[in-house]
Amino acid sequence: MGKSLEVATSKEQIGPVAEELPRRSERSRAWRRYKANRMAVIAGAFIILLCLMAIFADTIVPHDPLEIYSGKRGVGPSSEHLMGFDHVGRDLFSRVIYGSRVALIVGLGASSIAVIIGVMVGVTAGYFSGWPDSLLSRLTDTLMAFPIIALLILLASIVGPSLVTTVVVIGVTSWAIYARVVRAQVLSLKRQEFVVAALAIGASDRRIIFRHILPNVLAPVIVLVTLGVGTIIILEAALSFLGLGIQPPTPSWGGTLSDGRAFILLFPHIAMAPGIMIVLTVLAFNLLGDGLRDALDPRQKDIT
Amino acid sequence: MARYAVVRLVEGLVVLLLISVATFLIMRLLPGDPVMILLGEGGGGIRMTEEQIDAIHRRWGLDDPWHVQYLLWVKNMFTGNFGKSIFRPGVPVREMIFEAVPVTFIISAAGLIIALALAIPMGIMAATKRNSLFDYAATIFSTLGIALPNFWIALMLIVLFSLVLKWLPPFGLHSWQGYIMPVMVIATLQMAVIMRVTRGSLIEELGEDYVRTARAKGLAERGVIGTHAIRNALLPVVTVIGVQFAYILSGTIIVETVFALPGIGRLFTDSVLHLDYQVVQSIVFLLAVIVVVVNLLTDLTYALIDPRIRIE
Repeated sequence: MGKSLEVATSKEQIGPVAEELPRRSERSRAWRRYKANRMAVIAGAFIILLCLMAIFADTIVPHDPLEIYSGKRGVGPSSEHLMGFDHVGRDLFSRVIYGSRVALIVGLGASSIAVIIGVMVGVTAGYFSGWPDSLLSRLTDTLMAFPIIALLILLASIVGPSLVTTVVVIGVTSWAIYARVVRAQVLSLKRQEFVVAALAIGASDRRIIFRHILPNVLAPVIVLVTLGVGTIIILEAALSFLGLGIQPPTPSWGGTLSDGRAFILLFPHIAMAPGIMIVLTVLAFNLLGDGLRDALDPRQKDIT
Repeated sequence: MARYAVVRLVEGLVVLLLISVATFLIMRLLPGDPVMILLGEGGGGIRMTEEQIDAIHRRWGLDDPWHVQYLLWVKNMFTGNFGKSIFRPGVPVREMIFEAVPVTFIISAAGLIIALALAIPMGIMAATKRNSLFDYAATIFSTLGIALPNFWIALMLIVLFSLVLKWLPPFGLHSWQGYIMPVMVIATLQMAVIMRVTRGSLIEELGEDYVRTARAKGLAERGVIGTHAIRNALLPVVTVIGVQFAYILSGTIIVETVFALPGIGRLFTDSVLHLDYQVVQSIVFLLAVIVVVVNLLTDLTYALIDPRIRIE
């Protein structure tokens, strides 16, 4: 026994290993794990680029997205107009660049709303079990049982379609998954020693929730949110595609796709560019989410 | 098992109750009077006296207190009497729904069956030949498939099959060929999800002790996977199908709009725009019932196959 202890502490024996693993904070170790994932790094860079594009859309667009070029209806791509013109003669490239604003505003805005509601519901249900849990869990089930598009169509047509409506309506209907995951996390955290210890020394519920539970559900929530942004961007595009999201003439990817559908047999190029942008953006957020999951929360399983 | 089934059944009923109340309230909070909408902007040129409008309200029960309307509606739902359409006066909602259900059913069922038939073998192959070329191709397909919006796949299929190759009609349902592209759209997305789950869960099972034991006792790899690992690996797939069902229905709503198919999704979107209370409520309730029943069935199947679930 004594010998094995000696071996374990001897610096010569474990030297090289200790050298390779200097004391690092959990954060810097997570960053190293993230950097090792090439796809996730590319995805992250793409998203940063997309954000810059959205912020500086005014200065980088080659043409006014609302200007109608007469006689150019549905004209295909050229070197001056990289993606060609839409069905009324507007520059598609500029409209697609502006469309990134809508996608990001809705993606991030609706996610924030969904996360706030989801975490509140999940923590309440998981921490206070009993009837609040039964009630909130059934509420979560109910929301998940609704085909989400049907609910969005219904709500958007009641409130009247606009950018704000789109953000709010998607936000208040997308929280169920967060609530479910947070609840499960809280249930398992509640049984762990540090929470039991905090309870034993008489910490208030409020202190336990904010100091001990919330910081520990953060990692899985960040991962889920990143994965959720892609889904939300698709929902926004679907809603705009159905004419119940962003209203013309404001450029949005879903709206342009809707024009593309109407003229698909005449001007098929209209539907190309916005579709490719949606796919790349959603893909980037999904890959970023996968990367963050592996980096922040290596034990978490793939949940689709 | 019986106890578990009862608990799940009661939960399902509570969810249905909440859905019916929520749907009913949402519909009643709608701004705009369905009678005026029926007449069109500003009454559509038809002048009606207050008395006439009131008479119409009374005839459709729009004047009754909300709880009376709700109870009547619930009673009608249980007797299969979905009321009459406001937008198409005199046409029973049941008839409209019956006309539309087969289209939606064919698209979603065929899409799901094709997806299962292709995705499960693909997932198994990818998991057993890990890091092979096939595995990479399958992984790229499923990663891309999840990121593809179904309405865009639909548009690209129209460009390919209707515009370039001229094989299929782009819109409508004039022959059975009209079903091909819609089914492909639904199947693509489901394949991506099901393949991913099958691959992931089989890889996990293959790392378990019982698989090592089976291999150690000399069982052929075929037997190890085919009789041991697969059974456990397909459990998450059952759950995913249940969860995906609501998405499939969401998908058909979009797909029916793109291809202009007379299914439930199209009927729903049109009825929302026309504020046709009876139709919208009935469809939402119907969709929710289907989702709840399917989820209940998958949960019970799961519990039946996997005894560990029942104990919880």
